[in-house]
Amino acid sequence: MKSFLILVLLSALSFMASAQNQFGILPVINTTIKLQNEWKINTKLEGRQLLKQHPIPKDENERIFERADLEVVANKALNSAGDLGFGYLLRRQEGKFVHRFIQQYAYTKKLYSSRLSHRFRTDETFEQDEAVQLRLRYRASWEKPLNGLKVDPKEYYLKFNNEYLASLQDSKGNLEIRGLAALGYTINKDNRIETGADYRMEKVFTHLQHKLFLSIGFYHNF
Amino acid sequence: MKLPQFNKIVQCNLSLVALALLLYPNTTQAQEKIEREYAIKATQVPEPALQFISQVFTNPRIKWYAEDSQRGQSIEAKVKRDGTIYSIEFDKTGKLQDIETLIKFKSLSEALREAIEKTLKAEFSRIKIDKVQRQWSGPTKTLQLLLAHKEPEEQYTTRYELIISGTKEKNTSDYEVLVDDMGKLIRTSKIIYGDNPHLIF
Repeated sequence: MKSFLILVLLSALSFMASAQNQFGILPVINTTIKLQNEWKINTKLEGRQLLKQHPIPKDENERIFERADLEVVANKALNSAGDLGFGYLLRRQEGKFVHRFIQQYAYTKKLYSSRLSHRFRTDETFEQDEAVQLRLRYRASWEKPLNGLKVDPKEYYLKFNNEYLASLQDSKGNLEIRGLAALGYTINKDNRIETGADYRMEKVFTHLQHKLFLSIGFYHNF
Repeated sequence: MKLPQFNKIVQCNLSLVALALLLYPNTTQAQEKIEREYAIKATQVPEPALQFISQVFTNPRIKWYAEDSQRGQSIEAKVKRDGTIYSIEFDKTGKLQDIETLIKFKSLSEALREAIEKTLKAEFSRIKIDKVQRQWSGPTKTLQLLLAHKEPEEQYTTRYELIISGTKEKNTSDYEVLVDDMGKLIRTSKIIYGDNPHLIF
């Protein structure tokens, strides 16, 4: 049964890789500093390295380091389940800086043997010579321990994300859909690593693009 | 994008942060419950615990867990029978500690429900009961009879463990509340969940 599931997963990944327009790596370093009164500061440094593109862009190398993001979110835990956050993202892409403001509310529910988070986010993106882009996002994240009823130190877990991003720019709307399947490992209570396949379907209403990334994440709590 | 427009957005975001700080100024200090639970194989379970379960349940699907908590290590069997989930807890030598059964709050007698609600209202300004477990403890043979739906002659203790979302001083958190069979408070522990940045950021 396990061999069959692995075969199905690999076949699906192979199909996705052959059909999409971009393939690359998404390394992420995510750190959290806990403050008083249930406040915390989350900082995320993320890069995007493209390895394959179809079609290959003119006058450009197929393998390029496309972008680097630095995101800082100040988060307040409202209660055991709810979190409210405000943040800022600075992106370096094609020699330009992109600025983004973020507002989010997240609700995490402990289920019998897993955890489910709902994240509602709005963001506003500012870029030179471009109209302001407004986005409304919803993401569901499900964490399932592979040992026991909750994820403890030195245990593996599975994580699945599904996100929908509606955008509005220059009076034109669009949609992006993301899906992530990752395997995680908690090294100890302050450190965890994750790796998995991050699939993105962008510009659904205009020029549909498929993107597949190998996501590699490291999480640390100070 | 023009600079005044950019500055306006920055000011708006800073104002929202300040507003959040004012709205949620404090946290609750409480006894905190931290546990580690992990699956174990039947071969790792002490013999007395295996014997007790095999005498009471014929269900072949029994899940075994080890649990490390503030009170020490314990072994737990989770069994589903006739739609009811039983958690049978043993100490690390296999001696029976207690039996927990997942029940509905509505299934309790009206008098007990009222007593529990009165206890909770004395502790919290707002409550929402998420889960109720009936807890039996006593001599092993007595608990065996209880599981067989027979009324034992020997005395046993019944308690109720409630998982609630409770508000204290405008701060809402999840708590584990233990009450006796008269609804009187025995213990309250604030539940600490694992960190969630990998789920929300």
